Amino acid sequence: MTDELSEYDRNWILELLDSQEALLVRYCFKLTGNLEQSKEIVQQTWLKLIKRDDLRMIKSYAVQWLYTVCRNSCMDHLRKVGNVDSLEDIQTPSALILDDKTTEINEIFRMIKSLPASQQEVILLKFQEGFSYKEISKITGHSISNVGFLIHRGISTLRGALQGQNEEENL
Amino acid sequence: MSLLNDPKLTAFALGELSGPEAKEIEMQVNKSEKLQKEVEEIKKTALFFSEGLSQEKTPEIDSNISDLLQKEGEKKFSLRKWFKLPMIKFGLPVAFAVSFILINLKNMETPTTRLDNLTDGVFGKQDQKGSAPAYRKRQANSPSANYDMALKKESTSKVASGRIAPHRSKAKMKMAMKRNFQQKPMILAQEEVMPSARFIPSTPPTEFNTESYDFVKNNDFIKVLDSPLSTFSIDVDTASYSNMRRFIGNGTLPIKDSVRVEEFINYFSYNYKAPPTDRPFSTNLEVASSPWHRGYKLVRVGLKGKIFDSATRPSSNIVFLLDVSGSMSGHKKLPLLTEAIKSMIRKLGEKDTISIVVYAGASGLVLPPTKASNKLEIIKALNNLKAGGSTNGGAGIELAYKTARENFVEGGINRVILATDGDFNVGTTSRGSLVRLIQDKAKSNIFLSVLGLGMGNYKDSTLEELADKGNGNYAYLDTLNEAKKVLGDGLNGTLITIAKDVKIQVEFNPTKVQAYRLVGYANRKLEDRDFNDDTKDAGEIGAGHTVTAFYEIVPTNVKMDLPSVDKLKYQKTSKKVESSFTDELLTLKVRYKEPTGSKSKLLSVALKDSDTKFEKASDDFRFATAVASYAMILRDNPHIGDMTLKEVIDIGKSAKGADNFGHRIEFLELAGLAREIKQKSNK
Repeated sequence: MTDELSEYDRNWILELLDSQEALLVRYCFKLTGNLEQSKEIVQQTWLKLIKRDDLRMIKSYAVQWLYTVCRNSCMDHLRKVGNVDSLEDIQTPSALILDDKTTEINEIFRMIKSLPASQQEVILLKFQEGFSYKEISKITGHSISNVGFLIHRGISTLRGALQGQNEEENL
Repeated sequence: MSLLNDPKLTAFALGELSGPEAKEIEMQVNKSEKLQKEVEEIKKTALFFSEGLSQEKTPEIDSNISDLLQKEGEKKFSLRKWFKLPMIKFGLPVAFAVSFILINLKNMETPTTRLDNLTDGVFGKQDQKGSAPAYRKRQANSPSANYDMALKKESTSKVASGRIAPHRSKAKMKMAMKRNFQQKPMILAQEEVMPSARFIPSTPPTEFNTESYDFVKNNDFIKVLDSPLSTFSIDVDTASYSNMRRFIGNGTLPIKDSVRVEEFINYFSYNYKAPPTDRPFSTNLEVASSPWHRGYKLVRVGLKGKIFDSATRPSSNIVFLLDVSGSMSGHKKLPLLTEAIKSMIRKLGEKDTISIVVYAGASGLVLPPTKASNKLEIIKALNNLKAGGSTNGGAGIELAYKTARENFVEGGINRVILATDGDFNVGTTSRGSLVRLIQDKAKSNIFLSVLGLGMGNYKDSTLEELADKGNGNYAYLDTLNEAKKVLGDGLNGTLITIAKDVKIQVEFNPTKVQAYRLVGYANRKLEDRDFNDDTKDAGEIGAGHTVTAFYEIVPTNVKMDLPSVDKLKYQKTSKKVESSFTDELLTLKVRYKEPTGSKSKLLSVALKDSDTKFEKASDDFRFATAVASYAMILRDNPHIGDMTLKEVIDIGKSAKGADNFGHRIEFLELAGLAREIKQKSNK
């Protein structure tokens, strides 16, 4: 570990922290369903980042790196508490718990929850976190073409659900 | 084979494909209406979900390092400084006093539990890395303390990049935009704009990346015999550089056309000599061998504007024209902007007047002309700003100039500062008519500054043109640091124009120079005859600003093959040159007008040839060369020779100089990152 973080690195970490920290907690919360645990995992992840001595190399893909490490920690945690396949039941409306009154977002989560877990995960990484297929592949360990397939299937189902809903509204 | 239910089509619609694969699918899609409709539908669904999901709240993150940092700024980084915080400063003695009393009380048989509670309360934060934490609260805090330790390492006095109250989900939305869907993020502020359910996006995305950049071509070598004069308008904009920083920070190389070499060079200030009192700026010429081609030489033209301090700065009438449309709600847009304006207000006083005009769907005056000494009033108005609505730039511009005109300060600074992401989508939206509107307003001796913000739908080309035509300067604010550079330390340069329509013309001596190439300024070139034409608009120079340009020249004794026109039949092509000037490489002529003048003045100075090696050139010369090289590499400009980013960094390192603002160190970091990105993408 290098002894000094340059000022530029420090500013960079601060900016990253600023833009990513809460999002990472939200992401982990969806996986673990435990807010305190998620905060802990995210903080540990930041520590891991800061301690990397190849910080500069990591910069260009830091966000993806943070998500990958967070996901691994969440999975470790789930294994520990004996709830391994809880990916099959992603805790969705964190918005509810965070006292979000909008029904729209719940509606969206309801639709996403109707998908198989593996699709839920990539759909959220794609459309909520905005990652590319390649990045999602790095985060989840699926191959890129598998990510493409899962997203394709997911989005087809969601399209159907959305159209159904619009027709309902129009009635 | 039908693509209809193919994951590839989805990938294509989501902008995940590139290269030949994307082209192939695009061809197929273009042929089939059905496929086009399908792509449209996929995009629509994607947009709907990404917009919807972007509204999910993020958890409150309390009791951790980032919040602490946001409240207190960078001083939190150093544990030593941490102790200086009032809470700790007073807390410690109080705690000791309390414990002392309590310990004494304990000796007088007082319950011990209270002591524990009290010491925990007071020492809670500072005791973290001691023995195993006994309380839950401490447990939660301990990783923060570790961050602090890890981040601490080096204590410096430089200000950190801005900590601004984050709109975290929005910030992420912006990241999301960069990474895939670059649709208009107008929806971000939709609570205010459209309270009703809005399940189907009102405008389907027509393209993924709506950032727009004009094509900028590279200058080529020109034969002196064909064209002995080179004429261009100066440019003190720096937006292209900060924009590059944003790209690199996101792990990608900037879009080639967003890189303007001259803006990279001019991002840095150089230690040129101050101008004599009777002139608005000084001229600084230097020549050394070119690091790009053996035998070629590099000539630097540097201007430095007169310096003002706050005492000599004239009175000002500043009208902020702020875009508060929905697309401005990202945390790097409106909040960053208001912070920057607040820091600027602190530098102004009794003789300055501030007004704020906002525009979104409608425009309005939210702060009538107010003395800058009345800081509370101004800050209150700034705090009340909220983003929401679509953007009607045209109406806002009208109102801002009207306000500026009504409060015109004779002999003072009269300036409209337009801050926007440039996504004008209501009212006067065509670039042409906006430019004409600004051009018309510029005749009234009211100057314009344009501050570009945000990303995703950032309209670089529109903003640069507005600034050019509005007698103004243009900066891109990507961090609070940058905002402070423009509106804080560099405020005088931003506010005070010391000369306008500054044009540079260089005449090359054909006995010494056979060809030349202007580095950068490709879209600032002027016709030679425009130099003496006072009706032709050109760039402005602000107080303390430095302007730098490079020519790479080919001395006559170097062999060079350039495409040339056929020998002319009626003209003499070989010209004999007067021998009395044989030691001169070139003559620099600068034309400028006083800020409110309409007749130009002329400065002229000749540069004697010298055989200085590049390594022996001044730090400023070499550093600027490194910056130019970096920009040329990012643009894939073939004239760079075989110089690599590694060499750029080496030159930059050796020429860093005093680097009072840390900008040069940052440049070296960015170049290092660019190199890594390049290496990775080559793999």
